[in-house]
Amino acid sequence: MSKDKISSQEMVEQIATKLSVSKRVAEEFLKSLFSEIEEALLKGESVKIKNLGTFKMQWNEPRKSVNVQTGEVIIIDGYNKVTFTPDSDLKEAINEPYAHLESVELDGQEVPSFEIEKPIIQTPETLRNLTEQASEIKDILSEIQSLSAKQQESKPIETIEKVNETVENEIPDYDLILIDEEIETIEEEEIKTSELEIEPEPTPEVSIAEPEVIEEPVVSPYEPSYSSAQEPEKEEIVQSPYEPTYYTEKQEAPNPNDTFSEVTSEPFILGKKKKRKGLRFLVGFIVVLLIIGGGIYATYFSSSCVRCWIEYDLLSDTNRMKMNDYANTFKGWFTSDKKEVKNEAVKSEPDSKISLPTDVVKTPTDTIEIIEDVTNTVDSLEQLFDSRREYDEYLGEEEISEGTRLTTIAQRYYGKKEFWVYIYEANRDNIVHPDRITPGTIVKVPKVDKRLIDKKNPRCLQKAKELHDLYVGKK
Amino acid sequence: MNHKELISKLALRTNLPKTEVEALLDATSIIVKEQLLEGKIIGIQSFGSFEVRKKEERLSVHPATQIRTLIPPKLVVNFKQSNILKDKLNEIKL
Repeated sequence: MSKDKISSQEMVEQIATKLSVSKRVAEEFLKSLFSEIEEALLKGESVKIKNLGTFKMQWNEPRKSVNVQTGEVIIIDGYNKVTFTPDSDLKEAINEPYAHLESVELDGQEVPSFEIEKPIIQTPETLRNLTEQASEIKDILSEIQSLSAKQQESKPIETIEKVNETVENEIPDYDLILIDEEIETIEEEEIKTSELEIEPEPTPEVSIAEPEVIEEPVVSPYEPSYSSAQEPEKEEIVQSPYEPTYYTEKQEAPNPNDTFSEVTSEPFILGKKKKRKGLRFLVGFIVVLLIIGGGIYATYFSSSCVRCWIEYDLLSDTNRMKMNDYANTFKGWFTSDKKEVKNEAVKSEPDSKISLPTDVVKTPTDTIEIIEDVTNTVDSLEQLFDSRREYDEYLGEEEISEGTRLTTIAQRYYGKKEFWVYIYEANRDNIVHPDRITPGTIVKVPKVDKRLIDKKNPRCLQKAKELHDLYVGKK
Repeated sequence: MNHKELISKLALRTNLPKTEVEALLDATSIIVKEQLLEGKIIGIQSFGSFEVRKKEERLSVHPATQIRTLIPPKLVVNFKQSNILKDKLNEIKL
């Protein structure tokens, strides 16, 4: 340890003593060894030596640098460099003193942005499931309607049962409830009365749910409710993506509600008397089907226990009260979501309070429908994401010079650098890869739908991030 | 070029049997390893030098997940090419 550095001469001595060969041989060997490696490297080859490592030549690109004293930009020429990658054996042996150390994740201090992202990621998943269910329900509903129209009241049960077996989850049960409501409206009334007693919810969220529910009974097929959810959004592009839908529905809400509940409450009693016998039988049977369907669903989708639980509860008529709680949690998600995204949500609350007194007492709340409608409203943004974006109008043109980036342009035009992807989309013909734009290229900055580049909406940012990964990782 | 190719080439160059070349090469790598473990710098004339360097512990943040990880210190082998070799390499390329 006297000397820190050992020369090739010392190496030769050590080799000579180790293998008990003459120094001359060892020296010759060592010299030829390194000159051989050198030659191979000059040819551009890599040299691998067992138990030692690999020598490789690497080209370092010329790069810009700044003279620290003068601030001048200097260009460092590109050069070749020999890199040595030690063999894993050697690496481990060298690192012996620190081998016991392992990298530690510090999860104590989480970055807030990470926390915000989580709930947003979760909701679309559940919503997607629900939209799938909704479409299934739609199909089966129309099927059943056609069947029930032809046959007598006692027979539809059998057909419904068949449908139930084929689909093999509880989704048909929703339809059954819907059919009940539409054809007979007895069950619905029962629910209504039960909820009248147990539903003193003064929360503003309730008012969001109720208007949606009202639409269902009034409009028997689902399509109209879809379109009604979408159209207001298109009209009020100026406003935020979430807000308008809720808003308009709320405004519509009181009228249909009042008329509907007033009209229906009287005929119900008459209809009840007329059809009592057949209906009771049907209702009883449906209750049994609901429970069976729930069981099947629970076994089928046992992985997502929470969802099963919720839906199982929804199915059993006795637990119908619980649906309100779940509905509130669901609504809670969206309203909290809304608050994060838009302060305007606060504005909407006073409105909802106005509609409250009329709604709360009368309306039948059915969470299944609530969930569906919420998916409609939120999914319209999803549809916007998925639909092909076309760029006809442009805000301006930018010439790319050295150092200009799409992100900086996006920052200037859209207020958030993440939305550069839309500029790239509009200029795909000119740009091969977003990271390699030749200086002098003229980039058109497109006019993008304001809902897409809502920088306060985490979903927009999420979408932009997805697109970013798509484009940057592509080539 | 892998281990075997290197040995056969060296055997040609030094006029030694392959087995002996292999023994010499093994001995070289063992000595290099030993010397490095002792904390010594190995300088090879007109080629470069091998050295053990300590990388200090550091805190890394995963850009996507924002997970902060403490990476422990470690010892690595560093090779620095000599200026002679560097010039030779550049002559070839330019």
